[in-house]
Parts: sequence; structure tokens; C-alpha cells
Amino acid sequence: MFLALKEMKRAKLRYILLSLIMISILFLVFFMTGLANGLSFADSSSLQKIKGDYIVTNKEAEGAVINSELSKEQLKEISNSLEEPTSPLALTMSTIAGKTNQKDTDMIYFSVDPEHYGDLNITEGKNISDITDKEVLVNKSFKEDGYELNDQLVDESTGETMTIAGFIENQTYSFLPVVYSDIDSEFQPTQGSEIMYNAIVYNGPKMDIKGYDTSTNDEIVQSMPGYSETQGSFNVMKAFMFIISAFVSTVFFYVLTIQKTNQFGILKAMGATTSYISTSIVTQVLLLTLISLSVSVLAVAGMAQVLPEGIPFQASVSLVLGTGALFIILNLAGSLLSLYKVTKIDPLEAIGRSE
Amino acid sequence: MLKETLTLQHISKSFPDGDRTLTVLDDISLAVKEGEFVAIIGPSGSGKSTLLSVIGALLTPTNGKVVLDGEDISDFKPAQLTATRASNIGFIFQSPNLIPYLTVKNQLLLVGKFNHTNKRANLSKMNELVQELGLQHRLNNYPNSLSGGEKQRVAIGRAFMNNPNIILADEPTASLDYERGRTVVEKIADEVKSRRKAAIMVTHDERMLDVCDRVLHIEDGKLIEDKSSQIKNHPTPCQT
Ligand SMILES: Nc1ncnc2c1ncn2[C@@H]1O[C@H](COP(=O)(O)OP(=O)(O)OP(=O)(O)O)[C@@H](O)[C@H]1O
Ligand SMILES: [Mg+2]
Repeated sequence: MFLALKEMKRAKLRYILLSLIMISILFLVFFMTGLANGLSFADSSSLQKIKGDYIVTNKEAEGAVINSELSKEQLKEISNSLEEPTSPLALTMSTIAGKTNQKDTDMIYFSVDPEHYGDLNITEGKNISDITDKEVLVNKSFKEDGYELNDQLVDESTGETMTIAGFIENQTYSFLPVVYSDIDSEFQPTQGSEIMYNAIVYNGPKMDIKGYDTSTNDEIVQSMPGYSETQGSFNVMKAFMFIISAFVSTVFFYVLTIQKTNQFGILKAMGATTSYISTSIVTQVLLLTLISLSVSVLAVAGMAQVLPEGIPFQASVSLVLGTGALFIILNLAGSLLSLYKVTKIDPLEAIGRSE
Repeated sequence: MLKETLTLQHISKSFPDGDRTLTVLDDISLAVKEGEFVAIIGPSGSGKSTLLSVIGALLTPTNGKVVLDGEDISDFKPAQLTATRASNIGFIFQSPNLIPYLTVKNQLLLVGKFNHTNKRANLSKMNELVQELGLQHRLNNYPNSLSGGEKQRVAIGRAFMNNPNIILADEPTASLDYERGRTVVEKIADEVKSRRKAAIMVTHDERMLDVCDRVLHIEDGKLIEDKSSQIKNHPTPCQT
């Protein structure tokens, strides 16, 4: 402790620079992982948040909700084979006409049966079970486009007018903000005259229905077209970032200790035990890593605040804790590697030798 | 009757050298009493540093006994050797080898931490040594702002901090000019005399020998005592 602190105090610049490198590395890891997670989140969050235990789609869609098509008759057939109340789900992309002098907003309808669909996490206004005929719940991002509670939205293709009854949070699909609407109000544009449904959502035990797929939220997210491919790329990216940055920081601590070999030899000749020297090294590593970790977490948190809504960012506590623990372990490993050298240092070398 | 601080009995040390063994120290016997300052001279490679390392609990001898302060350390395990160094041996190296990030004060205090001396005793010991070595106005300086002589004086102070019974110095003046080297050796001698320690110094500089009580020659690992320099302050005749 004595040596570790005295050294850091004396060689402030060196240790500040070292911390800065560590901070940058950790920031990079947290930030990039956060962005990658943000991207997949914005791609799929509303599917993840579908209120139901299971989602039934047709066989051909292979679990991809957007590719599944169910007719009214099929809907009835499925409903009849399930005991629990069900809600249909239709995903329809459309555009909301901008107010005067404003851009149009691309969005996607999640049309459900409000009576049988679970309550959503709302930030403001009514929940889905309370909306009346002409009302919808919209993703909070609409606020950035200047919409408030009780404002009117006009669908550009159908010309239908609806009222914002509430705001929901983090509901996007394929980077489009979600608008939850009553399927019977038929705001959503249709192909041909008949309404097409994508899926049926229900709460209850898993039921296998002949000719259809029953999947969980996780499964339908995984089956989103292109999702697993993107995830694959992200994971490779994250893995490499981890490996490289872990390697850099491990080597850093290794080199830092190795540089001091001669000094440790002198300490040993003076009677310092290997454990005294080791404690000093470990203290330094822990201190530096913890400080760098805290600073980089703060920096990432600050960054997340100032990032515009358009750049999705998602950093979780478990990610930060996991990365932190991993780095502490690896940095310790790096210096322990050099510690092995310390045990091997021959105090003899310090004697009868000028530097 | 003066106590024998150090006794070497038929010490030999050899290193494996390929297929053969290289005998560096060959049947060395020696006794050093408390308050005695012994110089060792000899050609390069004759085994001076090796001898000092065996005495200093840095190496164990291949054969023979090293008795330090009544204790036979020849068969000590590494941990015991470390503890012996921490409590009973003071080293002064060729270069001061100070820890660059510690002030003079802390250089000395650090030694106490190795053998868990209590804080107050450690502090007063430090103050005492600093006074004696004339370093009191340098207490809070770092090594990079000290002169070569000052650094070596700090190294002397450090060697005495653990109150060792024996001081070992391997060419302590090699990095200093004659005047400063002389002062340093005299400081060592003063401390040895006033504290009744035993000291062994390896040196190449024969001008320093008159400060010592006894001069030993070592050649090819064998010890030859120089009778002519037994008398104190008698300049050594063997100048080449
Ligand atoms: N660990 C070792 N392994 C093999 N040989 C060694 C080892 N240590 C020392 N020697 C050999 O022992 C001999 C004596 O070495 P030592 O360092 O004691 O000499 P020295 O008298 O101190 O010389 P110098 O005046 O140059 O410092 C040398 O020939 C050296 O090569
Ligand atoms: Mg030598």
C-alpha cells in the first residue's frame, strides 16, 4: 500500500496517462457495445415487448411476424383452439402527414384488440385498454416531432384522423416508431378490401396448433428477417473489441511491472518479501482499474444523455458490471504474469551492478 | 572479549558451468568481530561479490557454514533468508539504488516496514541516522534532486535502519569521485564504530583501505589475509 500510493503520487503524469488509456479503452468498449445493443434494440424492441406469452404465426413465415399472413377465418380457427382470450396483431407500415412546415413521420401500426391485449408501459396518458375508437398510443419519439397528448395525427395514405391518447416508451420496430391502435378502427392501410392479420397473441400455456407456429417473444425476435445475421456481425465485432482491448490493457500492466524488475530486486535484497511486493502491485492495478472504470462509466452515461434520439443507445448495468469484472481480472492476470517474474527476480542482480 | 558477529567455516560455492562445475569460492574461513571494518580486494571475477552474497543471505553456500550472530544460516529456506536480510543485514550497493519515488525520509522508513518495526521506533531511528549522516535538510527530497554523495549517504542510512549486526558494501564508492567516496567510507566506518557493528566492504580503490581495520585479498576464490595492513591506518604497500 505504502509503495503503491507513494509511487502513484510521485509519478502522477505517468499514472494519469495510463488511466486515460484505460478510460478510453473502457469507454470504447462500453460505447460500441451500447450502440450495437441500441441498434438491435431499435430493430426489435416492440416485438420483445409484445404483451403475451405466445405469438401464433403461420407456418410459412417461420416465426417472422411480418411475413405471416392470417385471414379472418384462420383467426377464428386459432382462437377456437385456444382456451384463453386472444388478440389479433397486425403490423402495418405507414406515414403520418407532418403538420404544416413539418416532415412526415414514417411509423408502423401495431393493431390489436384493446380488450384482450395486455397493458403497456405508458409514460403519459391512457393505457391500451382504455382507448376509445379514434384514439391511439404512440411511441415517445413523436414528442420530438412536436406532438403532444390529445394532438391529432393524420395517416397520409388513408386520410384517417386519430388522437394521441397516450405515450409509450422504447417501442420501435425496424427503427420505426410504433403506433398502437384498435384493429377495429381500421386506421391502417389495407391491401385490397379485407384486413389481413399477422399473428395472434395470447397469455397462457404453450399450445401447438396444427398448421401454425407458436413462439415466444424471444423466438420471434430471433426470427425477424435479417436479425440473426446482424446480431452475428455485432457479436463478432463486440468479441474482437473485447479481446483486443483486454489484450492491450493486460499487456500494459505487464509492461508496467516488468519495467520495475530491477527495483523489486533491490527491495528483495533489502528484505522485502515477495508478498509485500505483490500486494503493492495488486493494489495499484485494482486502484487504477477501478478509477478508470468509474470514470468511463460516467463518461458513457453522460454520452448516453447527450446522444440524439436518432442514435439508439442501450447500455445495461449487467454489461458494465460484467465488463468491469472482466477487466479487473485480466489486468490482475497481466500483472500477476509479471508477478511471476517478481518471484523469480534474483536480488543478487541488484548487488554489484551499476545501472 | 569481542563477540564474533560473523563466522565463515570452510565455505565453498560452485556453479554448474555446462558439464563441469565452476568453483567460485574455495574453502574460505573467516571471522569478523563486532566493531570491525573489513575490506576485501581482489581482481575482477575473483569471487568478491559472490562471497558477499553468501554472507548476505542472498546465496546459500555449496559447502561450509555461515554463522551470523550465533545462527547458522547455511541451510535456511528462501523465506528465512529473506527474513534474515530484513532483520539482520544491511546492504550498501555500488550504486545507491534508491527507490525513485520515495523521499529520503521514506527511503529509510520503508525498511522498518519489512520487519514490522513499530512506527515510533522506526521514526526516531530515522531521525537519528539522518542527523548523523548530515541529511536533515534533505528529508523531503527525492533521489533525483540529491548529489551522488548524498544518495550514497541515504543508502548508508537505509542499510543501518534495521539495526543489522552486519553491514555489507559492494564497491560503495565506485560511482563517486575520490573525495566523496572517501567521505562515504568514513561515514560507514563511523557508524560501524559507534554502533559496534561488523562491516565488510568490497572495493577496488586501495586509497580507501586505511579506513578499514583489516584487508583481505581474494584471488581465484581463495582468501589471502594481508598481514601488512593489519595495523590500522597503515597505507597498503601492494600498489601495482
Ligand atoms: N550465478 C552464477 N552462475 C555461474 N557463474 C557465476 C555466477 N555468479 C558468479 N559467477 C562467476 O563467479 C565468478 C566470480 O564472480 P563475482 O561476481 O563474485 O566476481 P567479483 O570478484 O565480484 O568481480 P568484479 O570485481 O568484477 O565485481 C565470475 O567468474 C562469475 O562469472
Ligand atoms: Mg563484484
